[in-house]
Amino acid sequence: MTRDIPLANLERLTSGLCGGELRHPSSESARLSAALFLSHGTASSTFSSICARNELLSQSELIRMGLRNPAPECAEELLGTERFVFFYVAPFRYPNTACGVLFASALEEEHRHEGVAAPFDTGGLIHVFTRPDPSESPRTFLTRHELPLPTHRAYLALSMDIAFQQAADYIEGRDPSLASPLGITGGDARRWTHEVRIPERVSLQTRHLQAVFAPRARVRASQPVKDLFQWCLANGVDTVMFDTPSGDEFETLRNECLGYIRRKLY
Amino acid sequence: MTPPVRVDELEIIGYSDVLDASMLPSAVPPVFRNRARRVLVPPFFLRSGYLYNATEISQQEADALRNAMQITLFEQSFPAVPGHELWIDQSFQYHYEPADQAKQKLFQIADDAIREAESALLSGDWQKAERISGMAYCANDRRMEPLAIEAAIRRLQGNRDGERLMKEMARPFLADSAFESLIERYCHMASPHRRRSPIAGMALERPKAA
Repeated sequence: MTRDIPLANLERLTSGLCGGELRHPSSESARLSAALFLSHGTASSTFSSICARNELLSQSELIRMGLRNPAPECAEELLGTERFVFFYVAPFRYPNTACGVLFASALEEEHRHEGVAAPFDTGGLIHVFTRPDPSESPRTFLTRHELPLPTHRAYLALSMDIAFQQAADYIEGRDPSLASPLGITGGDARRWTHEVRIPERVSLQTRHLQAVFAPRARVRASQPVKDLFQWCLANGVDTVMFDTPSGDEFETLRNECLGYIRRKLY
Repeated sequence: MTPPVRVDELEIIGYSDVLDASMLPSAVPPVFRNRARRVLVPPFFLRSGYLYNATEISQQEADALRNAMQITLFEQSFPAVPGHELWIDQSFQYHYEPADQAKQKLFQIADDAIREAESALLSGDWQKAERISGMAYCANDRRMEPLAIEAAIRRLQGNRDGERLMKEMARPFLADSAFESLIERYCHMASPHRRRSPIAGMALERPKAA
């Protein structure tokens, strides 16, 4: 992928969002969008192996290493995004997850040449969101909306001002007051949540790791998870442990993450 | 999300986790299937015999979640019953029984395991003490003794980060000073000096001059 396409997309989408006028984001939106963490949530059962490997792996790497079976019908394969590790620039929003990691926004700077962003959850383009022109393939729609790292955050800052009643609504998961300037409908908050993709693998125990979240019982029971939490305590990385009443894991994870972000950024 | 569903119209086909031996015994959120053969997975909540806010997926999607190691599916399904709890024992056998009964059994497992872990500490088998106390914590995560046993072992091993992690885990439930007392108690139990035979080292003492 050449970097020129996401750059051209950024100009076009920004112009569309601002009605062709030159606009600067408010200081609050600029601050929040620049500082907002990158989140990656996982199921409890897969978090142990992530901690044991000490890295997040793309779908294609997992398949190459024999850790996952090929799934030709999955969204990543259909969109051609299977070689990436995915993050939301937001609290955890992927259901069926109970553990997760937050990275500092500086991680994007390190991957600015090979990483890419989109102003929505790309997986939702398959079977969830409705695109303005159904005859256009999801893959083409995605290509027209890919944005460069880390400057997609400038677009995010403007979106916070223009589409939302207040900047924090984006973080809190409250729907925007304006219809999507991209013309997509359906789904949930992931329709307007910025996604960042970094190729192949992202190491956990680095200076970019901001915080780690897991149910207390999982930390106690899983040695790799325990090892990661100990590393975090020794290296000044935040840890968040919580209890999960049966069947309520994702809601608890989401609320813990929101609480953490409020304490750090508001 | 689905509308509320009567629990007694559902069957249980698995649970929403994949456990290894170190995570047992454990209460687990069930994976349900309705009469239309659609699968209902967490997040959800159960109240007054109804299942609320479950996510409905196809059997094919459930198989994909199993392949991705996110859920476990049983070989045979069985009817769901309001007020029942699903839990998995130390030999990976599932139990589905009234919630009070399940809780009582898990608490009994925790009590027994704490006693066994304390015995292991006394006999100097730290590895066993840690393993068994882990089982106790899985069975009842409101008992702080298992965390204190591991904290004591970490202290004796000189692993300060490991000890601190246990303190962080206990903090919401027990005052630091009370947890410290527990750690000291277990350090004392596990300490080789305490367990030393009364005659150990006597041969090293210099005999008094005649």
